[in-house]
Amino acid sequence: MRTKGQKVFAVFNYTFLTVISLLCLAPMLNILALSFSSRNSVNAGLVSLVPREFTVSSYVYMLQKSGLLPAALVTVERIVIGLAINLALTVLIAYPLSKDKQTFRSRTIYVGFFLFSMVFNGGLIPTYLVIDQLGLIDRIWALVLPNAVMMYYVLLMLNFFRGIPKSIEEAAIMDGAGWLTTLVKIYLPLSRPSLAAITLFSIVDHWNEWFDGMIYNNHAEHYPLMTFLQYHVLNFKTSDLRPEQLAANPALADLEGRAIKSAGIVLCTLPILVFYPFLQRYFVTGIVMGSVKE
Amino acid sequence: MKKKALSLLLATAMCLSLAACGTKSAGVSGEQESPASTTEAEESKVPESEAGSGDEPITVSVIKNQNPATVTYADGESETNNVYYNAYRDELGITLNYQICATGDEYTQKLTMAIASDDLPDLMYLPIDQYTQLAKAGKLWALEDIIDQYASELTLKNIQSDGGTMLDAAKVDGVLYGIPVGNAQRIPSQFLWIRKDWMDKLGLSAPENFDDVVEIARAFKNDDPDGNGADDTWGLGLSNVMSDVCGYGTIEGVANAFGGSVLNQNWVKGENGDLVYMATSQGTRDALEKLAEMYAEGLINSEFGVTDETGVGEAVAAGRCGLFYGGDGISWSYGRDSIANNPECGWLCVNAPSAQGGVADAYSFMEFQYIYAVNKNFEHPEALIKLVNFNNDRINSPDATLDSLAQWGVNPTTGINQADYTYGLIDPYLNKAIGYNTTIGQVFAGELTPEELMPEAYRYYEGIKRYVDEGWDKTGGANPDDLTAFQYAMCWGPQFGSWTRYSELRDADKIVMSEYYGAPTQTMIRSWSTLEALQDETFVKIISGSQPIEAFDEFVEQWKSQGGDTIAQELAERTAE
Repeated sequence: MRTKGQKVFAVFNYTFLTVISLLCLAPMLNILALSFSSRNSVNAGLVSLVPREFTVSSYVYMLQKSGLLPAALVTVERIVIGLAINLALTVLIAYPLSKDKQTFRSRTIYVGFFLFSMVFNGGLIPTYLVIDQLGLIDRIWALVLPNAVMMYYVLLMLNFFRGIPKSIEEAAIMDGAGWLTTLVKIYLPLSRPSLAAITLFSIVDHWNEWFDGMIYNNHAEHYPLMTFLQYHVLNFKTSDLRPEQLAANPALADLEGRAIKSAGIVLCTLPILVFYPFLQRYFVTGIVMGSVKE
Repeated sequence: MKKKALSLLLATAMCLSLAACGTKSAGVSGEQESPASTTEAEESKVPESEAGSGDEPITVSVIKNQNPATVTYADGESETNNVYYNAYRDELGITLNYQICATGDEYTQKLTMAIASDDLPDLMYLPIDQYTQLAKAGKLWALEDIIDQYASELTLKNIQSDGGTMLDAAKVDGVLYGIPVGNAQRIPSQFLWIRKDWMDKLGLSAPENFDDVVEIARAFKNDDPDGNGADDTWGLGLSNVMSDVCGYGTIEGVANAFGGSVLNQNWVKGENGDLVYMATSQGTRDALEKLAEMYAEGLINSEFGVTDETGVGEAVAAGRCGLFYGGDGISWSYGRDSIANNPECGWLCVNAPSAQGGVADAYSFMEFQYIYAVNKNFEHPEALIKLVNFNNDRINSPDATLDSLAQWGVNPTTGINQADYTYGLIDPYLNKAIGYNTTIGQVFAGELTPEELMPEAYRYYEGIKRYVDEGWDKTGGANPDDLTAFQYAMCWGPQFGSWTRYSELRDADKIVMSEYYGAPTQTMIRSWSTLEALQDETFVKIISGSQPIEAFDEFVEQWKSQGGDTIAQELAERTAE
């Protein structure tokens, strides 16, 4: 039997958590409602959580917009290439660094080197100049190479490797396996949860990243999806246009920003929103297991 | 605000980097051309059809401020495959190689980076600050002779349409390094917009002086003009924009009524010949005092201090706000939505009345948007002028027809404006819509036939004609199924349109032009955002009554000591030059 106090607590607890989750949900529902409402309802501020004067014209505009599909393809491309690079380098760096000092003598220097890069970076303009002079501007490599090694992933992987009992490795070496064989045949199969977590981190990071897409691309057709979206959310402002500009541009005259932007946000968030709940459990297990050391 | 701070930062960063890179003026433009596009240019056949062509085909690297969010290409077309791009290549022998194509802050950032890495393209489209910096650093061609030699008559006519003031203003140390894009006179945004249906219902007439405006505000606030039985309507709609041009709820019109102005551009010659920043003038003080009175009486929306332009616009669209000062284009934005939401709604536009009666003096300034300039290391500076000529012949020529405009301007079936693809389109500095408005008025007065209108004006005229034929000009309302007609009519319609009001101001010589234009001065770059913030804060506090009107005098003191006086000096020196 639960005491009275426990019951009261449960009631409060549920109420509190319900309010919190509604607070998280409300902005999303609002965006969804805006994207399905008519221009005049949106502009009059009449839309809250339910669409008013239901219309799909915003979606029609966004989907017809030249650039959405190419941008999505760029994002897929960067995820595929970026993920492969991220995973390979993370494993190759984390494995040696997970060895103790007797096995890997200059380990401290390397750790220092990597940690330094985690804390300090060259700053925006110097980094840009490097990318520029490497000839990467307007190419997919500018989006995947600068973040090829994410120190956070390396630390996660490193700690996970350390959690694997040393005796397994010793046994493998006793049986004649080299370092690489040990890594591929013993360590990697044992680290699946951690690899899964890093894979998901990497995918989500690449999906969400817009800033590098903006500064390293001089042409809109090379933008990844999120840069494309950011561009529209920020720059689709017909209210900034002078009447004579609007009059000279009838295709824009009937449109007004917010419904269109909302439609764009919904379209670009939907894929990750659908996948996230299914993938989230790996985040939790992967991180927790990586954080426990012997 | 944020944008300004950012651009100032970038400008400073640029100065530093310019100083750093000053010694090595590299001729990188040649290397920039990608081999692919060069061969493309060589292979393309150049028919000798266009005057001034016949030279070797060249590839020109350019940067363009173009907004991918609003520029649309038809199927299969792109940045490098459209009517203009192809015509430049085939008829002028000029192949454009876009190095940068972006907009907004991103454009400024990329431009700053290009300047920082001394990687300038051949033709540039520069904000005025960057233009001045590059011109002073000797990185741009002096264009005057080149314009004289290559510009077509039409181009000359357009860039001289304001009597040459814009070109003069674009000179750096007396030399012209670029062709500006902009407006010799920005249309003022002091128009008073009134819900005509509410006025009729409450038996009010159009205001003759500012007291009448207060009267209307009082009636709109207290007498339930929308008849829904609830006390939900505003008196005078106000936003918290206290120093910038603002389309909905500006206080500029009130300031004008008392002989002041709040816009951050407006420096006017005072009695003793000094330059006076109008927001610190006695007229502005009187206006604020009056507004504070109105606020205390409840005639101003109580939350104006946290309401931006959009907030006032929403109230207009939702039918809560029926009286506000604002810009000329409400029929394109929230004004149009107010009619879609409530078909009874009708609008009246008048020039801001002064306190003594009659129309108040409005204030305006010369507006530089961007400046086209040519890299000093580029061997064909005349390419820019050729492009300008070419575009003018397509878009701004009196010989243009509806058919030619369909090919080069707005495509009537898709509604896409192909003039967006141009590089170097210079519209007349004296806004061409003024002419459209005048000639459309003449057609309605029977002095011109519709066929004599410019094709673009004819398109507007068709809409306005529908509007007038259906009798909407009497009510200021509109057919909810034909809001396009309303859009054109409330702007360029005869008698009732906002641009007709603008023409009245011009004809009565009631527009005071600012003495300041062009690039910001040193002190402006350093402290203008602080001064502007000071103005915004103080004005909101005075109107909302949290500070007495005496705070204005303190503001003027502070404003002057924190850089205002120095700026006035710098500007005086500049105009004296």
